[in-house]
Order: sequence, then structure tokens, then C-alpha cells
Amino acid sequence: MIQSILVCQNSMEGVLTAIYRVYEWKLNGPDTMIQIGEADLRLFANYYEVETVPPLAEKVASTVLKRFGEDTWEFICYALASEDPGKGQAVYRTIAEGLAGAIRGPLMHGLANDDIRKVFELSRHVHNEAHRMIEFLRFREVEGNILMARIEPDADVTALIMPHFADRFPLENFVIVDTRRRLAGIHSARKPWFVARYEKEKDAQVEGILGQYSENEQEMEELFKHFCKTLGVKERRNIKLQQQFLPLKYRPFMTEFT
Amino acid sequence: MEKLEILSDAAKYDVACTSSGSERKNDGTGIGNAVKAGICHSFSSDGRCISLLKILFTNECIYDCKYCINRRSNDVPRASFTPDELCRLTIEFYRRNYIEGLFLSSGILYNPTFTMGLIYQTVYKLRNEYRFQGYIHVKAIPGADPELIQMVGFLVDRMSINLELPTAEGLSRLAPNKHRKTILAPMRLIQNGIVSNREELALYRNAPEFVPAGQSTQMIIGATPENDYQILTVAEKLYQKFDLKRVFYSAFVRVNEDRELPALPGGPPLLREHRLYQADWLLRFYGFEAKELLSEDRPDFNILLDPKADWALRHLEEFPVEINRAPYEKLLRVPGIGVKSARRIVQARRSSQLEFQHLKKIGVVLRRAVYFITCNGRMMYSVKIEEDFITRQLLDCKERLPFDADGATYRQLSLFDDRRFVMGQDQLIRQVIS
Repeated sequence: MIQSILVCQNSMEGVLTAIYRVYEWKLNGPDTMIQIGEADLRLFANYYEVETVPPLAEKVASTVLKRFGEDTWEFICYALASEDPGKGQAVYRTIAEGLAGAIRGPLMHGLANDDIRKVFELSRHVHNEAHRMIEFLRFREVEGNILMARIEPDADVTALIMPHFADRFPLENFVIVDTRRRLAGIHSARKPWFVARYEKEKDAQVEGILGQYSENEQEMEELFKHFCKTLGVKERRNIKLQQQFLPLKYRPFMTEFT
Repeated sequence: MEKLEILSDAAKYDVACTSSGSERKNDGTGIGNAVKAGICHSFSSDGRCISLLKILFTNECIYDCKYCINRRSNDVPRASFTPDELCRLTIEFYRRNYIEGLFLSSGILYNPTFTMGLIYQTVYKLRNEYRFQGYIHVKAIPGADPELIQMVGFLVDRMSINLELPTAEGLSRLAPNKHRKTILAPMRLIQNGIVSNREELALYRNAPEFVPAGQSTQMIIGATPENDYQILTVAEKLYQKFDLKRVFYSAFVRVNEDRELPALPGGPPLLREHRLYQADWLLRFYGFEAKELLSEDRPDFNILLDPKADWALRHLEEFPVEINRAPYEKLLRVPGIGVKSARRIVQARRSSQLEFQHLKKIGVVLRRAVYFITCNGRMMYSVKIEEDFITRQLLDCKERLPFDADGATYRQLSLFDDRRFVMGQDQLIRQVIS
């Protein structure tokens, strides 16, 4: 039996378009695979290159929303924000199982199915990552009363954490920069937020802005460092426990550890 | 800067630092919101979370509690904030995402009512002038004017009053200026306030909220001779009779030299504190009762086993539990199954029969659970359900304790972890002195 492999772009729209094509091209079946980006070619397989078409992706999205509800859709969104190469396949199989009616009750409760569980795990992973960013991200005030934060998360969480900060700081101008993916989540006071992509040539400029200080910024940073230092009870000192909760990889951009 | 250091240093022994229990969106006119589950922003070198700007308004105090670093008879540097300083600090920290809100406590300046007044001023300013909508937790000062406590309650998310010590007797010995009655009275006041506010909110959706995240308290563990059973019973009563959200336990840290205080050669009783928290969880989320876990004859926790495993071993007649049929409450009582995995089991078994391989993926800790469960009538291995055998097996898969994680402070379980031993020794020392 010859396998069908659809190769798509590494983005939410890319994967969802591929899922649309699976059904449009009547390829749906247990052997069909969705693959993200280039990978080793297999001998007994037909490869299909899938161009991303946002309107088609939207169709899949609305089907998922209609058939399986908002909760399932949220799981899928979070799973697709991960960097796992198998995410496309897992999401495709999950949706396929759901459409085939193989799962009784809510789709994401069918954890005995390997693909559904994979989506569940990926989603939980990204959720944790997003939550950690909400916890550990630090803003620094630069000239012009703008708050800048730098992050380098494992998953693409910028768009997932912007709503939290936009609700929290409606009157602030702030920017969250993912320097690994070259994304910037931008919020101006009293306006809706958006995410912008920037080119490699802008790297130096972005670094420059991130390194700036406003007038009383340094004082605040010092105050907070002192606060964190005094708060530890030395009779209970437990560095390993601290590290378990606050892994080293998050610390380079955190005020109290620099 | 110095002020911040003195006043946060003085506040650090307070354990509660959660920002949970309130859910509030920003109304678009100020700064801040609140998230139900709470957010930890950092962790200090002792592994505790830093969520709120935990600070004292002042560390001047007219009281002389033996265990407290700020007691009147101690010669320590003293400082006070002004309400405006505190507000500005909170806002500047908050907008940099350093903190989730303010946790304001205070030493007693002049008298309880005056101190509560200062706290009210600060919180009022923060809410109304600085338009702060994040989390605020304040300590209600026992003995302050009830009306003032009520007014503060409408501005904050959580209020707490420290019980300090589990029994009235211990309290009068170590905190001669505090009385059980003055501590419980405002606790009741806040409880009633929350109840009547709930009715108000049901009627008028926009009525102001009173202490929406509930109230909490804390007890010092190991400064007085109470046993674990007494402490847990007190906690249970507080949950049932006072509707508390949380009871915190704080292993006693000896900061003052005092004849009345026990010497703790092994450091603070962290294992005991840990066991109490484990049991506290069992009370709140697992449907256990204090008298199931401990009794007059067995008043202390097993130092080798966690309370749930300990309970299971003493009740082997309840096991094994059939995963595919047992009710949720029964699943919860199996060692190795937590609230989340129990819920997932109940969800997943609706669509398919669960086997052992599924359980592992669902998040059940099989190496603990295998002795207590069956899947479709079969156990994973054929093991005897016999107390000695299972105890040995459970002890073999070592429990992960939070303070064992650190290689540097690794400690063997020692006799000092057993309360009876420490207390016996303490009495001995006192005898020798007198």
C-alpha cells in the first residue's frame, strides 16, 4: 500500500490547510501522514506539497469549533504552537477520529487513543510554557515610558500570553519580543494588541532598544534584587528546590538573576 | 532601599504567599487584574514562591511574642513606610511583572486600631488613587476596631489572621499579649462578612465584593509541644467552622534566644511541616477526615511514609480498587492517584476499557499504585495484599521530599524528625538548666 504524505508549512494555518486537503483529495485513512517541513523521503509514499491557504484553514477551524466545541479547539491551538515535529500528524488524527465518531463524549477525554493523548500532552506542554512566561517574563522601562520584555520560549507562545498582559495593563505601552522567532507582541495604551514579525537585519536595532534604561529603571531593579535576596530564610535554604520551580533556562532575562 | 530591606526581612517568616482565589478583569481605567489560580513570579533561595510584595508597614511593635524577630525586647533596626511610598513601590514592581500584588502586614504601632487604620489608608489609596486592581492580601490585626476590619475587607482580596499556635495554652506561653479570643473574633467577623456578602452578590450583581479570595491563617509548628493530631484537628475545625480557604503551617525557625523556645538541633522541623501539608491536602481535596489519618493513640505522622500511603496500609481491606468501575471518591484514596489523574480516569473510562499501560500515560504513579488497584479484575503483578510486603515495596521506591532535592543540604532522616524525641530532649535540657 502506498502511503500519502502531505508536506506543509510550520504554522497553524499550514497544518490546518493540509488537513483540509486530506479530505478534499480523498486521502483520509490510517496511512496518511501530515509532515511539517522537509524530512527524509520514504520510498513507498506519494508526496504532496501543501501551499498554505488561510481561508481553508479557517474552514477547518470552524468545523472543529462547531463539532467539538471551544475546549477542543483550544487544545488544538495550543498543541499547534509547540515545536514538536509530530504535532501536525497528531492533530490530524485527532480531528479524523473525532469526525469518524470514534470517541464517545468530549473528544479530548479519549485519552486512551495515542494521537489524542499526544495532542493533549503537547497542549499541556505549551500551556505550561505560556504560564511560565506569564510568571517569569520581566518588563524593563525604556525611554518614552515603554515597557519592553524579552523572551526565548521553546514554543511559540507570544500570541498566547498577549491577552493576559493586555488585560492587565490596558493603559501601558508594552512590547514582548521573542528574539528566537523574531516576533514582537505590541500593545499601545487603550488599543488592541497585535503580533508583528521582523527581519534578521533588524536584530541589532531590537537588541539596542532592549538594552535601554529609563531614568529610574536601575533603582527599581536594584530594589527588587534586594527584596528577593532578603526574602530567603537562610535556615531553610534549598537551592535545588528553587531550581526545580525556576529552571535555569528562564533566568538569563530575569531581573533578579542578572 | 534600607527600609525595604528591613521591612521585607521582617516579613519573610510569614508563609502565605499565594495570589489565588480571585478572578477579576481590568475595567480599563487602571492597572492590574487577578487570576484565579494565582501566579508565582519568582522563587527565593529557600525554594518558596515569591508572588506578592510581602512586606510590613512597620516593624515597630508593642508586643513581646517570644518567637518573633520584631518583639519589643529585641534590639533590631526599626523602620516604617508611608502609605504613598508603599503604593508607588507596589505599582512600579507590578508593572514590571515582578509581583502579583501586595501582601501587607504590620507590627503593632501604638495600638491595634491605629495600625489597622494605617493599613486601611494604604489599601484605600492603592485601590482608589492608583487604581490598582491586582491582588491584595492584608493581615487583620487582632483587637482592632471591627468596623475598620470590615472596611478593609471591601478593598482586599484576602485577609488572614494568624492563629500563631495551635492551642490557647501555647499561645499564652509564647505570645503573652495575644489571646485566643481576640484572634477568633475577627476571624468569625470576616467569615460572616463573606457569607452575607455572598447573599448580597446573588441579589445585586454589582455589589462591592468582600474578601473574595477568602481568609487564611497560619500556625507555627514545633515551638510548642502539640502533636500532629491536635494540629490537624484544629486545622479541620478551622476549615469546617470558619470556612477558611487555607491553613498554613510554618516550621518553627529559632530567631530569638529564649528559655521558653525549644532548641532544634536538626534545624526547622521541615519534614513535619511537609507531612502536615500533605495531610492538609488530604482534608481539603481527597475527602479524608483528621480522625481517619491520626488518632489519640497514634498522634503523629509516620516519618517514613506519606499520610495517604500510611492510611492505605492500615486499611488494606478497602483494596484492591477496580479502576474501571470504582467511584471517583474511592479512586482518590489510592496511593499514586491524585485529583487530576482520578478525574482523567473517570473521563477516559467512559469511552474505553482502561488497562495498566493507559494508566501510566494518564499520569498515575504506577510503582505506588500497583499494590492497590485492578484493571478489569486483574492486578498488574500477582502480589499478596499484605501489609509488611507492601510497606517494604513502598519504602523501596523512595519518596521525593522537597528538602531532599538539594545535594548540599541532604539529610538523612534522623531521630530529630520525630517530635517525641525532640520534645523529650527539650524537657531534659530544661531540667538541666533549672
